[in-house]
This record gives sequence, structure tokens and C-alpha cells, in this order.
Amino acid sequence: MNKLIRLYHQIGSPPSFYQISGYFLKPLLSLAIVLFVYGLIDGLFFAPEDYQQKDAYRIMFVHVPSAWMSMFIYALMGLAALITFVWRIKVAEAVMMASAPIGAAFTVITLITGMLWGKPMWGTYWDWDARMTSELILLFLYIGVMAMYSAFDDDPRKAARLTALVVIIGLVNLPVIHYSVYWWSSIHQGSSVKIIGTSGIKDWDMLRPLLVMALATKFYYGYSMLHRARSYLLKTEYKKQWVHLILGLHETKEKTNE
Amino acid sequence: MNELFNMNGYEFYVWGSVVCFVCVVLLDMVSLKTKKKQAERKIKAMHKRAKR
Amino acid sequence: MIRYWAICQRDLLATWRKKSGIYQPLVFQLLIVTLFPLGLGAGAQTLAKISPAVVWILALLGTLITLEHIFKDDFEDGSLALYVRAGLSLPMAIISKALAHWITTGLPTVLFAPIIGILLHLPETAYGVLMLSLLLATPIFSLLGAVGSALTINLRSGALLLSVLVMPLLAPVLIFGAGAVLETALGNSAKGHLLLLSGALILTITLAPFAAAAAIKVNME
Repeated sequence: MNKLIRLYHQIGSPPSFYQISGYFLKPLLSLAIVLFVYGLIDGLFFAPEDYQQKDAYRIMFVHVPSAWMSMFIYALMGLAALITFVWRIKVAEAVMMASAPIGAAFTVITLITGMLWGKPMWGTYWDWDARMTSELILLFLYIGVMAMYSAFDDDPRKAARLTALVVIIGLVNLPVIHYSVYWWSSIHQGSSVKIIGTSGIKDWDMLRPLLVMALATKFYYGYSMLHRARSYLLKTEYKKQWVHLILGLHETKEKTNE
Repeated sequence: MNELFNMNGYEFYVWGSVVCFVCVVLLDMVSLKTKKKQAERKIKAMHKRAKR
Repeated sequence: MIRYWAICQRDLLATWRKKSGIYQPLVFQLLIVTLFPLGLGAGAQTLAKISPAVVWILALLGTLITLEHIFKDDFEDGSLALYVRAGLSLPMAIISKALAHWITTGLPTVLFAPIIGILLHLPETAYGVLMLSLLLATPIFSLLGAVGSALTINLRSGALLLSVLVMPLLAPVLIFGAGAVLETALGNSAKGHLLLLSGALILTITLAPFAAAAAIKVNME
């Protein structure tokens, strides 16, 4: 138990977080790349053709994992925001701010690939369907989070706490937005037939690349998030000695002291 | 070669999606590298200024 | 309680003296509504079709342009800090300020909405529901606007950021509100929409003041 508590405190302190996360970067990136390559090749060339959508369904292997990530990252960001707001832990701040751009990137991928999937299937790039609309609103939430932080560039701590508040407000509202949008689209276009749905996959050869890609995106998120969080910590802790030690600035400083 | 990339009429959409995915991920990788460099450069510049 | 009413009264008086705070959103709505027939063509049927949504969106935008100032002046001259110092509860003070904002912009918007409706050939049956839905929703605009305004009080030009922050929160309100008017215009019952709108109002009254108070506290640090 004692070890666990120690580990908890270590992760919470920026220098040890920086050190520990350093060991994870390379393995996470290589795992992500290997799985990306495997998943894409498997999904694009070897998975069997869908009887209804033919080859167009292969978009799923990039679209669905990205959509999962766009929501998963917001949930994690919300957790980090809660910790930031309640306990003011700097590492949580770093995780929160590092997650936002990655989440936004996956949301953009989801929207673009969704449009590319929609054209052959629905006959139009954009349809105000419930999923697309709530995904678009999710993108606005991510943009709001990033804009909130960058508006306060003179005081990063205050910016981080306000941003955490924005994330939390968004988190509370996300289910409301989600359900209201679903309800709204069911009134407006009850007749339109929805072909796209992942519930129908039973074939293991189709499921495997999807799961591999889902794992790959998770690992990639881990890599990118840790990398960004480390830069964030360096930037916000620039006055601290551990940062100077890491960047090799320490000795020069001692000389000036003499 | 052409056969390999054949998607029965859906080439543009399928490969477009894949290219979009790969491009955004690559962009993300570039941006995280530049973020780190920016942070380091900023700290070093500040350090130099403080030394003077 | 009297002290909170005093805050509200003070805000009301300040807006009343300036006047522009009251008629600005209405003039804005009138200007935009003129653009619709000019752009769409003046056909009564086309206009009637889009009127529920347009009236609603205009009400929303009209309040959005006034939000920035809910707290800004009080924050800059230090009255907000004074309220906290004097032992007033911040969430309650926020409710009073939001109430003042609602009386000066929300209420006029509700009363003005039928005029916009007439200009857009809104079906006659829909006016009651239009006003009722706006009556339920304009307090939500003021309260959520208070949250956005509290988050951006420290910024010189926070107007765009404020819209980015508030828009996703207002999306459900727009869905239910405009939906209620649309359903009535089509001859259906709007009861479900209105109930959901009241639910949203209750939820906002209970949560938004605390969120705004938290934001103001962080900004004051």
C-alpha cells in the first residue's frame, strides 16, 4: 500500500512525472505505429467485403476508432479537469491541456471521414444527422476549451483553472446535447433510412482490424498526450530547477552565482 | 498495382479517408514536436536573459 | 434578500439610464429580420416555413450581443469584489444580476417576438407558444450567458470566445424552443417540448449560478 501511495505522489509531481513518462514514449509510439500499419493493411486489403456497402465500409476502420477516441478523450479530459479544479494538481492540468488538441484532431478525422462515407452511402457529404451534428458540437467544445486557454497567455495557472471549468461545464452538458440532438433528428427525418451502424458486425475478420485500430489510436493518444504534457510542464515550470537540470542549463547558472 | 488499390468504385472515398486519417495524425506528430522545441527555446532564451 | 434585490435594482437603474442596453438587441433583431425577405424573396409561404426558427435564432443572437457586459463593469470597478467582501453569497448575487439582465433584455425580447413573427408571416396559431417558449428560455440565455461572461471578464475582447463557449450550451435550448413553435405551426402539440424547456430552465437555475461563481472566484485570485 505504501508503495502505491508513493507512486501516486510521484506521478503527481511534475519532475517525476516527466521522468517516468519519458520511459513510455518510445514503446507507446512504436506499438501505435505497428498496430496502425497492421490494422490498416488488414482492414483495407484482407477484411472481407461487406455484402451491402461493398468496399465503402472500409472507411469504418478509420472512422469508428476516431469517433470512439473523440469521446473517450473528452471523458479523460473531463476527469483531468475535475482533478485540476478540485486539487489543483499541475500534472492533471498538463494532461487536460495536452488532451484537447488530440481530441480535436480525432473529431476532425471523424467528421471528414464521415463525410466521405456519407457521399457514397447517403448521396450527400453532409447530412444533419444526429451523430454528425453532435460530433460537430463536440468539435466546438474542443475549440472552446483551447480558445479559453490561449486567451489567457499571461497567467497559465489561472487559464488552466478556468479552462478546467469550461471542460466540466461541457462534460455536464454533453449528455444533454447528445440526447437533445438525437431527439431533434428523430423528429426532422424519421423517414430517412440509416444504413451506417456498427451493430451489425459479426464477422471476426471485419472486427479484428477495427479492434486493432481502436487499440492503435489509444496508444497513439497515450504517446501524443504524454509528449504534449511534458512540453506543457516544461513551459509552465520554466523557473524551476528540475527544468534547468533537464535542459542542461544548471551548471551555467551556478557559475553566475559565484 | 492498380488491382491492389481497387475499391470497386469507392477508391476516392476509402483512400481519401485513409489519407485524411494519416495526414491528421502526422500533423499532430509534427505539432507536438514543434511544441516541445518551442518550449525549450523559450526557456533557454529566458535563461540567457536572466544570466545577463 | 433585500441586499440582493438592491443589486438587481442598481443594475436595472443603470441600464434604464443608458437606454441603449434595452433597445440595442431589439434594433439588432429588426435589422437582421429585414435581411431575410431581401435575401430569400418575400414569398409569404417561404417565410412562414422558416419563421419559427428565425424568430428563435434572432432572440438568441439578440441576447448574445448583450452578454459580455453582465459582469464586466462590476468586475472592473471592483463592486464584485466588494460583494464578496461584504459577505454576500456570490451565486445569489449572480442570480440577481442575471435577473436584471433578463428584465432588461429577455423580457423585451419576449414582448417583441410577435412583431418579428408578423414580419415573417408566422402562422397565427403559434404566437402563444412562441411567447411561452421564449418566456421559459430567455432566463436560460441570461443564466448561461452569465456563466460565459464570468469566464471571460478578464479579457479585453472576449465576445467571440464567449459565443464559442455559450453556443454548444444553447444548442439544446434552441432545439426544444424552436421545435415547440414549429410543432404548433404544423398543428401538433408542443407540450413535450415546453416541458423539456422548463426542465432545462430548472437545471440551469440550479447549476449555472455556481458555475459562474466558481469562474468569478478564479478570475479574482
